[in-house]
Amino acid sequence: MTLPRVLLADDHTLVLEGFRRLLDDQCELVGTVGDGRALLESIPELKPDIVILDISMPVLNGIDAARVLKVKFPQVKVVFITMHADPAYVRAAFEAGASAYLLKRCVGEELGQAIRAVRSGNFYVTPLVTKDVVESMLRGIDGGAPSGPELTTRQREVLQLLAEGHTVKDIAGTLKISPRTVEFHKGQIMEQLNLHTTVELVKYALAQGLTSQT
Amino acid sequence: MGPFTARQEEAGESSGFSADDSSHRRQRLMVWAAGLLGCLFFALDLLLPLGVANAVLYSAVVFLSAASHYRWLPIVTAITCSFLTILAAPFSPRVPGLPAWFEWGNHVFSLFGIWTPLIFISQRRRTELLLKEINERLEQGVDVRTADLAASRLALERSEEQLHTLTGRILTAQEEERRRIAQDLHDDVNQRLALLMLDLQAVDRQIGSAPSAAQDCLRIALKGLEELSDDVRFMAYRFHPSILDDLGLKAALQRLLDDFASRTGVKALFVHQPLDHQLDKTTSTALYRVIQESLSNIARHAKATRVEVEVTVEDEGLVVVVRDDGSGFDQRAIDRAEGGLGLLNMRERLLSVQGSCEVESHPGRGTTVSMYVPLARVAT
Repeated sequence: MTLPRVLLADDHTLVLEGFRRLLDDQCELVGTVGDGRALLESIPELKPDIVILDISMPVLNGIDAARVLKVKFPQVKVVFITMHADPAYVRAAFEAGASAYLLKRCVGEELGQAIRAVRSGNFYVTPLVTKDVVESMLRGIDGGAPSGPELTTRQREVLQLLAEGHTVKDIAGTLKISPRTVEFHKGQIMEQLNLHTTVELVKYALAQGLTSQT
Repeated sequence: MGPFTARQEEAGESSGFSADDSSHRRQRLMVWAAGLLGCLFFALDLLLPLGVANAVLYSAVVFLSAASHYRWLPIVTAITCSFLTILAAPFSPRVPGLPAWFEWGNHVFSLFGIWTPLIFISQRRRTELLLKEINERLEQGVDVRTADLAASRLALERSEEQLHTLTGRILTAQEEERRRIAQDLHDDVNQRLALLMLDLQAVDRQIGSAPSAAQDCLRIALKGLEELSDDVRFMAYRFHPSILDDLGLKAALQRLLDDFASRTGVKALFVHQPLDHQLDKTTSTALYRVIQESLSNIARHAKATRVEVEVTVEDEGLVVVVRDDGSGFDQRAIDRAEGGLGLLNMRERLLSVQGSCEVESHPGRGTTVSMYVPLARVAT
């Protein structure tokens, strides 16, 4: 296996320097850039196999850069190396098309392993964040996942009015919100309760004793 | 007679040309009437014995002329009437058997009857003029004060506006400063710490796998560095959550609620409608701070078991509702007391991005904070 061509994007010269030393024996470093836009502009010329980038960068941040990059050059693998251990960042990174997520402090030990994983088409997440990621996954609050069957006051109001047979427009008028917002609440409720039709929704409301009709 | 003239003047001033015309006609009519009455009384004086048309009757003519607008009319009337009285004295018929001094006395009494009302009238006129003058001066004073009041109200409004601008600027500057400190901590200090750790890890690898005292020391140092790095990261987050700039309001709020729930044990529900518009940094930071403030109020005072945060899009703006099921409070009491300061801060923050904020609370029935920011703002 030939050495992979790697392009490095980070706005800290010190970090670039440090990484260069680490990467020397594991890959062919084809260039370094300081921000997201420069990264996108240099890809056609440098033709990297892997792009290693930070999230916090000036001009265009890493997440947005990765999103554009994966649309324009889907064959290029994206590896995030950052300071952020927050599960929200991890999620955002993988949503943007990342193949690996590492923290700067563990790069020395994990970079080689991560690059190997990425080259063979797998994903890599540093063990330093997996605990938080798994916990947030189980909690289900994080990352926009439906937050379970518990509804907010407004959601219950919308559900009750729906179950009582009011139209979306009526409900919007009653609650003084826009019909679009009512539709949003309806969709959100159905998603949260794992219901698929309005009939199911009404049944649920009746079962919960949510309607004022007997 | 006084009020009557005043009313006439008023009517003449306020209701234009035709009224002025009719008033003139009335004045002229009055002069004619006075003249006619004078002639009539003179004739009576001449025809009837003892001068019937003296005193009372002539004074009626004087009174009538006083009701007119013409200042000169009462005096002219009085002079004319006096002249007529004197003129009629030698020619009027006599009552037989009555001494001459009686008739002459009667005529002198007539003169008194003519001039006394005039004195009374002129005094009345003078008082009226004085009153009018005082009235005018008072009105002028009121006008000046009204103008003063309007000017000071304008000044007050302007200074209030300036205060809002200034507060907004201070808040923005503070937020900028915090953002800068957070960035320095996160992007500079922490990056260097990470590099330091990388270097030490390299040393660690070079020492080899054989356990030694040096390696133990190194591991302890590394552990310390890691903790320091975590602390710095937390400090940076407290100054300014970079997640807000990197991943946007939704992710930042999720993180905020997550932290809130795990710190306080209060159940947190979060509903967020997808945004079509990009919120600019200033607006999303302002919203974030106000929501943060609401949550910290809930943690401190509300004794809530449940918090709901809803972000929805309404026509032109973003509506955020933070609702808790806690103890609530008496709104009037908060408005009076210093407890309104946090609320004022929230209002000012939203005002600086053209937003607004409302709080509704009742003792025992929780608190609802509703915020609104317009979405049409051009991203800066």
